[in-house]
Amino acid sequence: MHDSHPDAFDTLIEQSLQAQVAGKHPPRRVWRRIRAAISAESPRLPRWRWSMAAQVVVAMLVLLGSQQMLANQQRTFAPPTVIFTPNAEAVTQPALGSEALVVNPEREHLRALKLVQQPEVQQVVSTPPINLPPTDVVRPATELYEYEPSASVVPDLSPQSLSGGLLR
Amino acid sequence: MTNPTTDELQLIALAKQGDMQAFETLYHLYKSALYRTALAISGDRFLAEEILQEVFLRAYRHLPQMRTDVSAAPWLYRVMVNLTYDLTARRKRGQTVLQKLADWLPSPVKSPESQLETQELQSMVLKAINQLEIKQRTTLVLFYLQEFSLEEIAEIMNVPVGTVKSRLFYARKKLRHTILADEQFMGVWVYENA
Repeated sequence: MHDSHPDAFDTLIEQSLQAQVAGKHPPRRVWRRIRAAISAESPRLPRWRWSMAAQVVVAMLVLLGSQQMLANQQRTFAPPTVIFTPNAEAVTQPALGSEALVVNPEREHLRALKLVQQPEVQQVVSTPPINLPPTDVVRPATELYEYEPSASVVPDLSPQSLSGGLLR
Repeated sequence: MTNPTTDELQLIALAKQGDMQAFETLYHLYKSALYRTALAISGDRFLAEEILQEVFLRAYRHLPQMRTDVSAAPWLYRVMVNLTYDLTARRKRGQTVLQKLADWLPSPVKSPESQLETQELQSMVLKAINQLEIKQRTTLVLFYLQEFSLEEIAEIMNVPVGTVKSRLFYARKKLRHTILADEQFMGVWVYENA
């Protein structure tokens, strides 16, 4: 590889340099230091092997725990209890611990028809409890009475009727 | 140096993908050559270790920019040479008088008498090499120890080929002058070549 023909002096220089470093290798601690420095500045590389093992153990525990919770939930699950009220259904969800009021539109419609067919009924059925927690399926109480009784009888409260015609 | 093996290119590609094992193999491929060169230039094994460590730390940091179609050797040697310049100069500034004296003390010789003279010769040559300016010394080490061509040295040292030739010429001239002026050397040299 040399570009010139080496003479005795060149050979002496070459031999001297080679003798200085012959059999010399970097100690193993150099690579250990390189590896440690890389690990210290690079979070994607594991610094210790046990940290990897610890991460695996934690992941397995989390997985087992979530599976156990799921199994418990499945055991305690029961179909929702439905309580029928005149115009709405109070649905209790035991799993969620909540109660919802579900309006039954068919029942509401039938009740309105009944009111039309019985004009002598003066009072509307008492309003259902509205102090339940609002849910998506609960409608305002006013909406339950959108059909006004068309044939309700209003008593005559005029002074003539109250006095029995004596004032006239 | 400029003809990389397929293995080396594969190692670089794998190391770029984060394969630490490949990076370690790359280290083992170059560690001895780089360490010996740094040792020959600096003459200090602890400094040579420090240089080797820093070269590979920089290589790791520059992995994303490293090319996968050429050998990593020129880049590694260039970093090594630059670090040797910096660290040797820094180390010399901080060197104490005691350390300087220790450098001049003769090392104990345990070899047979037949090898004594050769070792003496080599010791004198090395002493003369260490007196050279660091750029001339580096050129000399790369040329004689690593047997790089002038073009390769020019690439490593980031200078024109003419500069390499010039440094080599003046280094040899100065070495001849220093060594041949030594009467002790002349005696051994004449005896060896008789």
